[in-house]
Amino acid sequence: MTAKYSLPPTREIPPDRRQQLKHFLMSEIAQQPPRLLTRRVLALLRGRLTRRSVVAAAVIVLAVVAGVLGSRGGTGTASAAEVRAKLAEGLRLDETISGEFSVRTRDPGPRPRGVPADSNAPQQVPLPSKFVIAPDGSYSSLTIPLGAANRRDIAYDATTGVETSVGSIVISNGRPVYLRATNLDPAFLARYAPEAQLGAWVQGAVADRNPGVKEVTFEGRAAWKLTSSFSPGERFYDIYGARVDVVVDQETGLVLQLVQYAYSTDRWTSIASVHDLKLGEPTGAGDFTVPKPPGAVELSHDYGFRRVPVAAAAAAIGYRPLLPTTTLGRSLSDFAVAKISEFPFPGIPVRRDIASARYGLGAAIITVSSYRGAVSDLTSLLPAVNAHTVRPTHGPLVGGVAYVTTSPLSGAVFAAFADGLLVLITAPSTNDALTIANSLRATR
Amino acid sequence: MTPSMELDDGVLWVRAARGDADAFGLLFERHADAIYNYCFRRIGDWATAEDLLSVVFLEAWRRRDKELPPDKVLPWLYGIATNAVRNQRRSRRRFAAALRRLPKPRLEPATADSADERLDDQRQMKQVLTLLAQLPRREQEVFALCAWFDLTYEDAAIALEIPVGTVRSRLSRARGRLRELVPGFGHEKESRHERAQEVVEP
Repeated sequence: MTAKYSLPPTREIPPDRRQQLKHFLMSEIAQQPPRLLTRRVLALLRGRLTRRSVVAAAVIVLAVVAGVLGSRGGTGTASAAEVRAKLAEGLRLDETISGEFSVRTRDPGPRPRGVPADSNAPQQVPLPSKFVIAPDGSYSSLTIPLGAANRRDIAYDATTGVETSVGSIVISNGRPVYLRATNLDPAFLARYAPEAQLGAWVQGAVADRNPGVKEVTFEGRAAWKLTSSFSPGERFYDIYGARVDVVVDQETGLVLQLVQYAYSTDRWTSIASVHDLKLGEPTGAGDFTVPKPPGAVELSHDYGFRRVPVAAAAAAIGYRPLLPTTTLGRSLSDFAVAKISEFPFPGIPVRRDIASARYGLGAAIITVSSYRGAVSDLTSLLPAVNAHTVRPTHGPLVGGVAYVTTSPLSGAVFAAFADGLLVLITAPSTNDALTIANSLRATR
Repeated sequence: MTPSMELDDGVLWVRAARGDADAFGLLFERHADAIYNYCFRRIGDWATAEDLLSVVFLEAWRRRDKELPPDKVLPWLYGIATNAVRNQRRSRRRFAAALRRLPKPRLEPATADSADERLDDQRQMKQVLTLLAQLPRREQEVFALCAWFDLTYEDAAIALEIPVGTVRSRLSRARGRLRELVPGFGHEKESRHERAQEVVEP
């Protein structure tokens, strides 16, 4: 039997609807952190590592590897555990460090048979930057050269509590926005640091592997070079590639270089380095403020957080904040509350009655935040991938809904809902996050 | 028109890959209609096509570290759309939270005629899809890309991540089967001009 039919014509999306859809898309992607080096950056990671941690844990070079790295001979001069301990020391960032950060990549060549198409994709190339990180939490990262297009600059002055940035928002006509933000969330500082991403990588790699260790020099500094290889199917393969080399400064524990090999262990595809590392350089006024570019639209934003004693929090937000009794040896380094806090980006839900705490210094921090919301808000806190259900066994979250991420690179992000409160915890590992979650208590 | 709107897809994609949301927005402006129509023609429902359009671009943003030849952004988007159509449930689940935030279309009386037309489209498309469903899925995908959206063999190969030769053979088989099903078939070109065809009703 036959029948008449015609292929329908193509149609344009109705203009109003098109605008709605585009606005929706822009809002959704504005909620996601910039992806710099990791393939799957967890949505909330950007608040976990401070800008200091950035360079703290990472740094890299761009020169030709062989030209910059000179073997000092011998292997096994330090164990992986010793290097790991030194790295942890480096994360404390107890003196001013500065330098230049850059990344270089090249084509990884054809994908081997059997490797999934979206595995081990070429990494992004952060713009080169000059950075300074001070012990008081101040930091700055300025794109090089200063006139570069698509620049992403960010600085935070701990003495004034002001964060200035360029490139985090671009308005539709292409003009950059110079954002001056105040009263920031203690758990949500330094969202745009490429070095922080490197820090996460390195911590993950060193924590989860037993790499080979070799003594080298890097721009004249004594360093260890850690080498790990991965095979298709291993969880690190999709993230690092077939091999990763990490160069760690022996004096400070800072990461000086990360070299990735995408498909084979003998062809590098990405080199991220810290050049011209300086320790203890004096800093002055203005070092932690981003210069406003000509033509930029200036925007001020108040995140609404007020530093108060923990004991005064309940009066401000209407409930006793949930804080951990176990903090993995870290002391409370920042605490603030906000009746309401908005982001300067479109589409991110407003948070209300927030209590936010940070423990520890440098890159080795944990954060705990709580705020009022609905259980449905949980879905926007964690990505669908890499998250799984967990059941808190102690404390106020027992019986609530809870998830934790499992990414080995970004540390753990724990999100839960119980009794009208959303709780968000970031910690170095899943176990750490669960330990902290189970130790939560309503403060007095 | 701003200067950036004149940039080619490859430049915009590189910028998007570096986190430039505006560049990605321009890619959306440029290709939303193509992907929207592709999704519609694959599933026969305009509302679902809207959802899938959003899914495709959210997925593209998620995978923005993909290195693409400068002129292959659209074929790659077609590839994401093909996967989204093929795995609708999984695609929607991945972006379930986002889709819940997707605003409902505004209902405007002035567009009532357009709404009727779109209902007609859906009825027509269901018939076409009923016919096409008699082909293996892989042949349907190649046929839709090449015959309905003018993709070259090379572009279809990029979209489907298969060799060019496989595109050729699948398209050839699809055409052969459709000739068996539809007397006088050979209308791929005509289909783009919306000419009426005789087809077999199941």
